[in-house]
Amino acid sequence: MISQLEFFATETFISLRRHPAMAFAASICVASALFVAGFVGLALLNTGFAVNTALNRVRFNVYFSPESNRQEAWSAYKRITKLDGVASATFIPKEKSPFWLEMRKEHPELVRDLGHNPLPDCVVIKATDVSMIPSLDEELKGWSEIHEVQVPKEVTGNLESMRAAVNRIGLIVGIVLAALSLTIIHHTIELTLYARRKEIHIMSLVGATPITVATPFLLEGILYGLMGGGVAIGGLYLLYRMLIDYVNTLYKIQLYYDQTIFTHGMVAMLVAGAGLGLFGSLASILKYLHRPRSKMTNA
Amino acid sequence: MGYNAVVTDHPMIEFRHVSVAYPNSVLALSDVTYQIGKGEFVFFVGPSGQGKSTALKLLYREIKATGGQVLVDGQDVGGLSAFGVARLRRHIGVVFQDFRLLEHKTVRENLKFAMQVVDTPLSAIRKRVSELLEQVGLADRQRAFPQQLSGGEQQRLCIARALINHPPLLLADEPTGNLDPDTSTDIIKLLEAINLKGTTVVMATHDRDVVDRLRKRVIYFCAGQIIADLEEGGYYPPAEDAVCAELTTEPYSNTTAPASMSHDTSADTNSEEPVG
Repeated sequence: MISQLEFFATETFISLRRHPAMAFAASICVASALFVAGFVGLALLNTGFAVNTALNRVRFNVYFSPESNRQEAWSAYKRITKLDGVASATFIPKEKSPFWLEMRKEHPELVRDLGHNPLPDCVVIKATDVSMIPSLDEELKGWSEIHEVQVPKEVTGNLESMRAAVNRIGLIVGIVLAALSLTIIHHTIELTLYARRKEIHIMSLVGATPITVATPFLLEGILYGLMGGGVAIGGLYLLYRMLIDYVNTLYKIQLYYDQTIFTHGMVAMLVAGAGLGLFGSLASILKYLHRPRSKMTNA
Repeated sequence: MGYNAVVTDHPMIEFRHVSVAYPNSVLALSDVTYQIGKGEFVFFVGPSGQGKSTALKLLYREIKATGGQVLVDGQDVGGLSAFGVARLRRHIGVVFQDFRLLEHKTVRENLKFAMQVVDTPLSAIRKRVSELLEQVGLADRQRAFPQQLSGGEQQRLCIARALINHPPLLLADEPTGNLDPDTSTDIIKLLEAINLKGTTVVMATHDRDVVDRLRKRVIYFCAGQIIADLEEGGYYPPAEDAVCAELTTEPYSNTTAPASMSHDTSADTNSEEPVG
């Protein structure tokens, strides 16, 4: 077992040593694909972050009926604060209503003519998530104290659509880049197999199993993927740090940064690179091992 | 199906009505039947393209027979899975005319490589490699690369690699084809010594001197069939046993088959997989 592990390790690195240009090309291609995927991922992360921030700022107003007195309104407000999905609620008595305050300032004669404040008390609600708004709307409309619930449907609808579109774009880009990387690694390993057909033939002649023949090439593919992933991570890290400083300095905008998520993202990129390398080379080796013997042994 | 290397009383090799047809309708072997016992030394002779190499390739499952059965030590090798073929080949050593060594590895590394791929322990590798290098006379050349060796030395390295796993059967496909007469003699002596230790040796050859000198069992191939099988044969079969009578008096050549035969003589070097 140990001699075979040594064999696998040696044979894997032999290819890197003998064909450094090919190894470099394959790794750089994978790195490019993963870099672009990572960059798109960061863009999507920031877009999603912006969309979520905007959505989380969405508030809606609840107006009490004119027949409700202050006590009834206040009691309803207390019940509102305890509802599921309500992150915060602010009670605005009618005399503190921004519209009434403006009327008093701009049109005092109208206010004097009216004699009383006809506006209802109001509660401004911020939901824990924009997806809770429809259910809160439904709930509150059934309360006898409440006259009207004003939900900004168009805005939330647009932001939700944007979030869904961003996720769809991310998925499509990810699939395209994964397919590209797989193809590149597949063809690189095919070239390696062809270049080492003599060794493969001798290995099979002396009794190596298909797994023994395949393993060095699978490890080689994984290595290309890991190297590519490492280069992509390094490049993305440097670029993003520069962007964060640049955007913050010039525009005072904070780009999204969460160390935990980014660490997970780096691990995911390495795993993705290794996975692409493994499956790309697996496709090549399976195709090679199932070719007619005569085509394989033309060493 | 796996290959089971339990010691049996079966002949080492048995062909039962074996045929090999390639996709382009070339019949490389036609209804060939013979047996080779354990410990024998047998020559396959015949002009180029008559089926000698095809018969050898069937034994280590480089190709599959399209008809009949090929048995090695009592086991049908035609139905083996990929893993079964790998196990079969650990019990067969193969020596080629063109040596097929790894140019970027030294003599020692070529042998070590062959043992590592079959998961031999490191300590056993060191011991066995040293033994073999002594046996074939390459102990003082172990750090050389194949291109730094003479033809005879390369062939001895190839033989050493073939003996790595103590195979009971050694197949040699024209091992002296690229060597001068003196070197050929050394290689044949080595093969004889291996045979004396109990290994069955089957050698396909065009080397008339070797066959005539050794007077071992000779199986004659012509047009994909066995035309004679003599216990102490020479390079040419007796005239009365030869279907292609003109071959017994005319020199062998790599040109067309005799006029009495109607099929292609390129069977041995045919690069297509047999139809099966």
